[in-house]
Amino acid sequence: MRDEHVDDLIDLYALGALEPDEQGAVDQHLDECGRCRALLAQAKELVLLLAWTPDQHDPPPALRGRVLRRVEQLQRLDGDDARPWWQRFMTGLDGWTPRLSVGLAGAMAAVLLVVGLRMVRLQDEVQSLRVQLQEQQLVVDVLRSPDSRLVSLAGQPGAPGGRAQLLLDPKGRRAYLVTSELEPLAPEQTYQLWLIADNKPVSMGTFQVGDAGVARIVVQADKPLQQFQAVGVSIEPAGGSPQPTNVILLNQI
Amino acid sequence: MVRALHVTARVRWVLGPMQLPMCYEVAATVVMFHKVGETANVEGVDEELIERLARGELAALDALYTRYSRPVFSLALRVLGNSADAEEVTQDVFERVWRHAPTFSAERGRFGTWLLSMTHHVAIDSVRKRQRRPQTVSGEAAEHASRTLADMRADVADATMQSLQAQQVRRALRSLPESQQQAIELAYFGGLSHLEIAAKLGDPLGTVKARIRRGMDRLRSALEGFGVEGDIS
Ligand SMILES: [Zn+2]
Repeated sequence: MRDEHVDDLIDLYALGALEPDEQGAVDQHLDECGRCRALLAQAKELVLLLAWTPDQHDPPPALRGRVLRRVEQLQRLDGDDARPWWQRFMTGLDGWTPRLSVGLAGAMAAVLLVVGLRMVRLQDEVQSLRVQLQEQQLVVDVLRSPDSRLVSLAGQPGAPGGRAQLLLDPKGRRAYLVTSELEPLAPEQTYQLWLIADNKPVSMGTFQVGDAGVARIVVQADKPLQQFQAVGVSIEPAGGSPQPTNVILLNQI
Repeated sequence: MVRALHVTARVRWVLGPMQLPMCYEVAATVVMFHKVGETANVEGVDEELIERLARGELAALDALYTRYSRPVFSLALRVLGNSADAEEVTQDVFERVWRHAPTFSAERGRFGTWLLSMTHHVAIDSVRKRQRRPQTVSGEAAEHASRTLADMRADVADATMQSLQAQQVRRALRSLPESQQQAIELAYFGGLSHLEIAAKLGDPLGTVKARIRRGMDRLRSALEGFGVEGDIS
């Protein structure tokens, strides 16, 4: 079934001025209407020209040096081919440096747990309580270790956003991951969690997020977590992928 | 939002040019008689610089910076409203130029269009992040989108045409009734939706929509003959 053409909304769409629901409706129509796609292409051409219309100013002279020095630095880093792919990926995360909170336990983890627990939908209260108990037990276990640490996973600026925290004991095999502010995905997509060892990503399963983009996952690895070098979250087609295709969050363990 | 994400992922998997039909017919002879702007792409200079940059020559980035830092910074400044943030965006944009140079040269696109389109996306993303507003287009999606735009038909005399059209558009934009110009600018430079614009201006819903459409129509007719207007049958 083809809906009405969307002429009235094309200009607003090209300007990015539609509300999300309107945009979704237009997207649906565009998927099946070449005529409106052509109109949109024209509207986008016009919109693109607006980019050249502001009053023109030169940037401060010092900026040139900063830009060139920064790229020079990045070029040196990228030239180092000895680094594994996931490390190269991480240097591509603009302005974001890996943060590692070694030994940061009690307070942060408690907050993490409370936030995680509060967000859960109590559809099945009993089941939920059981899961909570298991999770609490896991968190307590992990915290008991003097080596426990909290790893923050952050994403690319401008990427879909979201955060995650992984609580782990490097000597143990289980860890606890809580995400927040991850976008809910379309049904044909899923989030997938990865641990990376010797440059090989190992899937730790797929997940969806609930309210506020929160998901709480008990990670079960088949070897001690200190043997992994990194943890990541990617967006994959439903069912997951054998290899990550679209990594959105990553950090070293 | 969900949809934007979906698109992101799909594009990244396909990793090929999306099908965005571009109707961009230009009377090249007209171009010859107009003053060439400072960022004009004479004889494929941009493409050559991008190729050199892809081979790792930072001098090429320096040259591209000389050619384009002004429009990039000016656009970022217009969106962000202060020099510090605009500088940050400018730096980010040129870093992306370096990063994507290898794929860009393969696409033989129009560099200026791609660059400013990317600048716009990065600047709007930055504004939204500051306002903690949900992003309708993710940065990565934006990048892919702008790379697709770069794949538009490259038979146009690139920046010559752009700077020429920019003058025309600037003039046309400023000749619009104040309210139409304001609505279009708040959408494009402010990253606001029509509802947000209506709220900001205290106008009834629907009014802003109509203003934007009327304004865009006027721009279109003002620019007729410059390749912006095309026939759809
Ligand atoms: Zn249609």
